[in-house]
Amino acid sequence: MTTNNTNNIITKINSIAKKINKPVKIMEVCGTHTNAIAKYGIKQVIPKNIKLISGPGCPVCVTPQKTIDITVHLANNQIPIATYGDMLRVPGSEMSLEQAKQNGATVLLVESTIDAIKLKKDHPNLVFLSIGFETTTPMSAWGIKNGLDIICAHKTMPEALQTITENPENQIDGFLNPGHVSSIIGVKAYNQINASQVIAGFESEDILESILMLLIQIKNKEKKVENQYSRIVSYDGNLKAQELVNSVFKKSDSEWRGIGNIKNSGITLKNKYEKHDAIKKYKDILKNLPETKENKACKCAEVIMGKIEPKECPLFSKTCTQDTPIGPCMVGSEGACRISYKYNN
Amino acid sequence: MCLAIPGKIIKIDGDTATIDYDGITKTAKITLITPKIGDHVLVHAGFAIEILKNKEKTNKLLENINDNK
Ligand code: SF4
Repeated sequence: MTTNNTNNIITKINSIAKKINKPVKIMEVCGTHTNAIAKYGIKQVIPKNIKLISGPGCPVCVTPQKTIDITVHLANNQIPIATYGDMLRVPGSEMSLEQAKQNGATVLLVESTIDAIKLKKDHPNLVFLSIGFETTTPMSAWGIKNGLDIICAHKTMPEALQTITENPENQIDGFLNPGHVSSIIGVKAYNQINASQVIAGFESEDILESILMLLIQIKNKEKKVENQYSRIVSYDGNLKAQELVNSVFKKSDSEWRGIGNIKNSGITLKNKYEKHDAIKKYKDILKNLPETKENKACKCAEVIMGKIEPKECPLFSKTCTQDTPIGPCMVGSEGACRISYKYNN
Repeated sequence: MCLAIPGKIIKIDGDTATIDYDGITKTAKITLITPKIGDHVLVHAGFAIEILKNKEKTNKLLENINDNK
């Protein structure tokens, strides 16, 4: 980060931070931002009174343990499972999908729903564990239209932001809104949220510029959504993607690890596509689902909400490491614990 | 998870495009956008999700930011 422009932004950040002259809490709600902030050392170049904290932006981390347990249970009952890589290692109450695989279950790793559809030729009753925010939902909708059965664990961002904003305990001064989620849902999706927000890109300069834009809003006591990532994000978002998603899914309440139930923050299959809902399809197998047992020692719930830093968890880098993860925040490549562990901060 | 990679469309065949990522080519579905050959797009989980409006960064914003405001 040595260009003139970057230096110019940092100088302006310093000058405004001085004028604000009190601690400012900025939350990034996208795991890709958490990663970029660590990778570029952003925390090291901004003034001390500006604190960047990670929010619930890692889809692997916010997926409730019960969803993992359901998927593992189906895998152990001869239902072939496909999912994105990080989900394999998330510990369930009894075991992870990776352990189920070692015990002989069919668990396949895919990079896209296109791959999952291809796998259906050899595994006709394949079930796709479908996670992610709005960036990833259109791909699942496409998969369902092409015959894919799914366990739907998708979540939507604006409702989570709203919940965090409304809880006075959190006291977040501003949000860096997720760039790629926003490319799908558009700037308009955040209009109702009464908070200072900037939709940010992912390069070091994007993030610094977005922090600067946020500080200006905070200094002027403005609460609005601005778009720093306008080379990708439009006001209306990707209408084709929204149409595809809306044709397959409807809004539903959703359970977030670390937050609990958030109204309208998830999606479920519309009646027309209900036959692709694996939880309904295999309800007889799931009658015998063992009870979910969460590991109480893992502090992921607090980490997800930015209440503690990963290193404040007593297990961090002692018993919980990248090779021996105890909670999902150490597994997901966007998990705050894993990122902290990797960049040693 | 929401990581998306930029590349350039070099061929379109129905709902699939061949995308050049600095010398490495791969296909992606273009169901979600209406691109043309030569467009720079952002690809996530096998699908192009958006066309880059301007390859250059939009730091023009900065010029309008006056910290004495
Ligand atoms: S360090 Fe491990 S045990 Fe502690 S909160 Fe993070 S994932 Fe959970």
